[in-house]
Amino acid sequence: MLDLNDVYVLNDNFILRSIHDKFWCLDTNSGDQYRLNRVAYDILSELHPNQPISVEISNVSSKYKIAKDVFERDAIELLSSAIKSNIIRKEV
Amino acid sequence: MDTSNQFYFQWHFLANCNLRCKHCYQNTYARSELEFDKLIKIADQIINALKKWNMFGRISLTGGEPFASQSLFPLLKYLDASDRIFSIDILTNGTLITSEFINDLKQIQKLHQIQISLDGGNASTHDSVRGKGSFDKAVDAIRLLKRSNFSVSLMFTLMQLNKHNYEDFLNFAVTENVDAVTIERVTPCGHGKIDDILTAEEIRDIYTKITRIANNLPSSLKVRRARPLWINTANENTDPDANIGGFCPVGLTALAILWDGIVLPCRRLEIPLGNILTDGLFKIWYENEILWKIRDKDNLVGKCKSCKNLAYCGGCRAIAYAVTGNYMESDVQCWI
Ligand SMILES: C[S@@+](CC[C@H](N)C(=O)[O-])C[C@H]1O[C@@H](n2cnc3c(N)ncnc32)[C@H](O)[C@@H]1O
Ligand code: SF4
Ligand code: SF4
Repeated sequence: MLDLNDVYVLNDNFILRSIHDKFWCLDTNSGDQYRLNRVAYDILSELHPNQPISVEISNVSSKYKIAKDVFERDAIELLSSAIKSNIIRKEV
Repeated sequence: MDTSNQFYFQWHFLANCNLRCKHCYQNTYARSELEFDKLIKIADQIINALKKWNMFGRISLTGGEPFASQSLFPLLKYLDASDRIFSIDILTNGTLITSEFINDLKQIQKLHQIQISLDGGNASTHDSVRGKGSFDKAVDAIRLLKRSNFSVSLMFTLMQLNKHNYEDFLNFAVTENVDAVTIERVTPCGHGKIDDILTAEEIRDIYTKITRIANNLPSSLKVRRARPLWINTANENTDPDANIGGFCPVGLTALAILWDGIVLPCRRLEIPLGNILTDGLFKIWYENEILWKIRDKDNLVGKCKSCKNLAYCGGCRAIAYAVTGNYMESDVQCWI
């Protein structure tokens, strides 16, 4: 289970890019491409080495008119799958 | 084949050349070439990227002069064996092609076309650009390849030195029964100078005339015009099969690779993006900010940005860069 007080960052080989309403997370080593929606892109863009994910989730959620608990659940789901795919890592 | 599934690589796998053309974009003709295992590393990156993207590759092998390289045929064979590469062209000055090469060329299943540069329809014009004796040798090669049943195209690079001679060039192409011609504008980079390029009005007159002439050429000769600026001649076209006008694939589905592994968005857009051997193709293609800027048409400035023909043209980013220093500027040779 993800701890909201933990700090996560994008792994070094991943980059985020967008054009208009298209968003990607790209693996510069393997060439894998992940198409994202705007919310997922915003959440991954907010990841920062000196900020716990709770702050990121609340920053991004304030941009969208979605109930806070629903947003938080979806964000945790996204970040958990990003951990599984090795896109993000925990900063220790 | 669905063209949205295709990626074009123009691979200048050597710099060495036996000619010294006046307009050539190359700054070096270094004789040393990459070792063959490094060429294979590059080829493998190309094939691997095509697999990852679920795309199929069209490759032009060129130089320098490809027929000056011992690596040409081994490399052709290697690329030919990949199921991700569906079409291979060779871009050459033709002067080194002899009958000894014919059998080897015949072995390359996916060899689609051999493109020979002809910068004039007669010896005096062509040789004024490419050096004495080069026309006769290129013509010998064209005839040899046609006799041997290869598909042959001719490339005419339009510049001040040969602007008077494009009709002779087209007549030559008809007489020699070649399969296609490309007429492209010189880019003022490398040995190409700003004084070599034509004015917008000169380009208008020549492009318009070519489209009129093309209406009456045999259908077996393709005049390639699916490129920037040609859309502005579409009202002169009466041939339903002519494919006139096209948005350049730079940044989207095309890349150029140089002899040392340096990657450019297009051979004429001389902005190094990285080195395929050290950075890797994915890092260059995914990360480079210049490519992302080019990919978004909203970044265009000047008259191209709001042009009604944008979807079928977009202007040439290389000409814009070479002349103005800004690759998103308007095409300085556009007359509309
Ligand atoms: C660089 S050459 C390599 C193959 C071979 N050496 C030849 O001349 O065909 C490929 C093509 O690029 C063209 N080219 C060279 N310099 C150019 C420039 N500054 N602007 C536009 N085309 C150029 C040549 O005329 C030729 O048709
Ligand atoms: S245009 Fe081709 S033949 Fe001429 S110098 Fe350049 S590489 Fe050589
Ligand atoms: S303004 Fe630009 S896009 Fe429009 S026709 Fe001219 S070069 Fe092409």
